[in-house]
Amino acid sequence: MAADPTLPLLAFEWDVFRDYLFDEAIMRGAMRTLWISILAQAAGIALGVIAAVARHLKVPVGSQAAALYIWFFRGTPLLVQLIFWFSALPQLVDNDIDLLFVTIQSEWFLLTPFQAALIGLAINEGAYMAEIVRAGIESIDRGQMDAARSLGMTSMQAMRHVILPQAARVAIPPTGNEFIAMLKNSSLATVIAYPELLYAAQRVYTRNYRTLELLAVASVWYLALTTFFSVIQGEIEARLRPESERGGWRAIVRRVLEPPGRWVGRE
Amino acid sequence: MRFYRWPLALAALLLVIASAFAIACGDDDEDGDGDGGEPTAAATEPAAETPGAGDEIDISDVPELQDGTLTFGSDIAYAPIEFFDENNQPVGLDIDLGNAIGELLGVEVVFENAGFDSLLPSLDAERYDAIMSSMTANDERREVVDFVEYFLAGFGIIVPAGNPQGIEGPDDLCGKVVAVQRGTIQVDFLIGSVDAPGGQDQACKDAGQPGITVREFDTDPEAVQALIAGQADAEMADYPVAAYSAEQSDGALELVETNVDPAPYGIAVRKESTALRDVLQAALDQLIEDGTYAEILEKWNLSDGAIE
Repeated sequence: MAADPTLPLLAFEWDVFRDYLFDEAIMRGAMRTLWISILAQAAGIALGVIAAVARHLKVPVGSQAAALYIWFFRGTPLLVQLIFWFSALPQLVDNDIDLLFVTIQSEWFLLTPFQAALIGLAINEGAYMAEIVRAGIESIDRGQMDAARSLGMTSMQAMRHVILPQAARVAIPPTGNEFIAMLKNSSLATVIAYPELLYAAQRVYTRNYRTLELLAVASVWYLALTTFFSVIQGEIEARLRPESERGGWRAIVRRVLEPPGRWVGRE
Repeated sequence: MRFYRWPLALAALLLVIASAFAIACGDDDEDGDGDGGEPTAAATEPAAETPGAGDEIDISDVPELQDGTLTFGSDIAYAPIEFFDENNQPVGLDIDLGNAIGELLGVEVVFENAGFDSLLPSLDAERYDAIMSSMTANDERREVVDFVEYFLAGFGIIVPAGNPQGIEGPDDLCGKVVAVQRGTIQVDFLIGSVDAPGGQDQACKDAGQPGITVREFDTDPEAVQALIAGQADAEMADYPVAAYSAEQSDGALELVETNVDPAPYGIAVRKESTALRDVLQAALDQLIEDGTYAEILEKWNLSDGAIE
């Protein structure tokens, strides 16, 4: 649609906004944002738990490796990390490496935008989740670990069956926060040409000069996603009250997946 | 001491915030990292006397030039047209030409650095008098600004040295991954315009070939970097920029297509800046006439792009 040359470019055109609000490419971008956020957050939680437990139990070597990991990936900008995985890594490993039984092909390190974005977001998230899980673990009474060990469990078993389920309840609000942040941080992946929501908007406004309208469209979709998950987070927290309940993993899953309608645990 | 703890902590915090602000707003001497556009080149002093040959150009009814300064908006990351040298000074074809024009008009020339996508909105917001940034004068842009054409550039295609994918021209791009800068006409060439999608990608599909995977990056150097990293099979940019990237790559890249579909670069001015447009055109005409234009083009090895 031709821009009226007598109107200033900065006048917000509602028809452009409306045209692109449900544009196919935009919605596909939004789905990619959601998808990569979920994957990266899940992987990040897993990495974070491993790192936090390694540190808490003072696993030899593992504990120091975890500390180094947390320090480095919290200490460098996510944007730099993404560019590293996408652009720098293939150049660092530009020759096949011959080990005894297997040849490491250099092509394996040529990551697609999706792979680089996923790895970058997940590893970065893991470093932050490690600190959140640590906070959860440290909020649990030392007595729990003592009691578990006095029942004959190893530290790892105590972690898995006693400590972590309780720590999980404490960690849910900050983790929910992290996921909301992840939905938006994923927009950085536009720099490595991953066609998520912001990239889709940029692809349009860099060519029709309707910057404000397209960024407004993208913002509406980001808002839709973050609002939806904020509500989910609130609901999960409500279902897991009171936090002091000592059930294990099964109790947590049961309470969260309770069919709606029962006024459970809310005062 | 306990009574004063909270106010003290609050005061300390405010002090830190205030100093942070002072530092952030204080430094104006950063070299061109601004997407806020820090002025980066005050190139010439107003000419003290009229040039010997040629007519003096009257700028008295050009409102934008009354402050004695001609401010260009430019994305100074597009060698050899505009880029920073090792002393962090802006150099290039546009810089030299812009300065020559300013000298003829008797005004100081300033190039403000900003992202390419922001230039047209900023021009409209009257941040600049004009845009000089290797901007192709295409029909879509002509709807919102006027152009003073000064150079002819088509596309260039660059590939890794040795041309492993055997790309000889735009038709060989089917099924390949092409890196490109966001918002450039090369994107339109590859996937069609916003209103009429299609482009070379569609042409490939119509011919029964796989489409083109286009990877857009914020700047041209980033797109070239993607090519070097192996993240693309080819990179497309305006011909002089592509040629320069190949030249600067120490043999890692080569140029395979030269000046396809040349289109004019233009200095963009607001539609209402008719007086400015006219004096810019007059200055350019004079530079062409007295040979300065040809000299500048030759300096940058871009004589193939001369207009007229």
